[in-house]
Amino acid sequence: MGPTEKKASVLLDKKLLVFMDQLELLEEKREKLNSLIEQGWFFMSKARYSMGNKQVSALQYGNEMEPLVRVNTRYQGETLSYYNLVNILYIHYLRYTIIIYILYVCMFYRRLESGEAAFQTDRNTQTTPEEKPLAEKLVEDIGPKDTEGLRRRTQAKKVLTTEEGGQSATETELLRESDDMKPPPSSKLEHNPQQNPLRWFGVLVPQTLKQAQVSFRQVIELSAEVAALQSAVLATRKQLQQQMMEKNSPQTEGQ
Amino acid sequence: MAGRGKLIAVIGDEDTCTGFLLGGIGELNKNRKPNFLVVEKETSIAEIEETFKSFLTRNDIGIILINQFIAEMIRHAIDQHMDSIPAVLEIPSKEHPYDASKDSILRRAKGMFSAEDFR
Repeated sequence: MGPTEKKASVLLDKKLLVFMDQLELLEEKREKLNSLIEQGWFFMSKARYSMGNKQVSALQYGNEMEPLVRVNTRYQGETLSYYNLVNILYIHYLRYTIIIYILYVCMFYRRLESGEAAFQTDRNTQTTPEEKPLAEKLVEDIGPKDTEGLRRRTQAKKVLTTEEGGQSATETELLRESDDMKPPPSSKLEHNPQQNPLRWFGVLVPQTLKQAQVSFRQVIELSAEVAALQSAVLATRKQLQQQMMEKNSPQTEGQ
Repeated sequence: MAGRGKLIAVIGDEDTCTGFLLGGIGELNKNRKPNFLVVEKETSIAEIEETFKSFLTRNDIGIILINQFIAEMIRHAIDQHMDSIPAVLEIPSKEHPYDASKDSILRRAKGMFSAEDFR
């Protein structure tokens, strides 16, 4: 075995060890992911037991939803800041379009070569109604500002008619108030797509449902790590295959 | 869209979708299609496959979570997907525990070795 073949074998062995380590880590993360998912289901089942079968189901999903968690993705070998910088330069400096376009294309081809991607979750803090843009605020503020479940009592005019002479003033007040009572306005929370999803299931939810939410949030964080590991495993596998082909091709030429 | 993250999509049974939506991944409004599909007994394989392929073509989805028993129904479509993004993660369901031997990614990773490679 020549020195170049020895070197190729050493590199191949190192790469193989990295591949095995990645596989082992992937298996560990997967086991943790699966157990967290099962834990989440267990808490959900307990919540369903206390709230009722149909109270924790697809029927409770909100009409509008905005994601509270997103995942930032990028291919390995490029930095987010570099990618954003290229984007900004491309948008603002159009006279340098050709140069920037060439840089962008070079980056694109580098991305295709590496193939390995990184994933990172980004959880949004829920916006309060005060933080919303003005246009949305105007829409949100239409309607009475009372909280859900409470009704505004109007100032009743104490008018005693001759027909109602037998009724007391108190009863007349009550009659006027009942006429003025309107059905409670639809909750502002229903119009806020960024609300906590726990709100879909009611104002007071059991602790088990909150625990289920915590479990699934952890699952989401772990999913990003598992996705990154999967991508790393496949990229290492591709590199191993290439190195094996390089190692074997001089041998077949020599024969 | 620079700087804004991608969505996490889910194709699963009701419990799976409810759990992940509780976690805050759901997107649903009048203008855009949802990033989740609740698979029931009546859901056809064609619909599942169409939804999966639509998630693959969307450039705002970074990860697709799918119950493994549903992935088995559209295995051919999953095996055809070779890109890193969106990543496809197979997850267990209540009635069907996770089986590593059926996972497309692990099969692709572990199936590379043959007797010739160790000469």
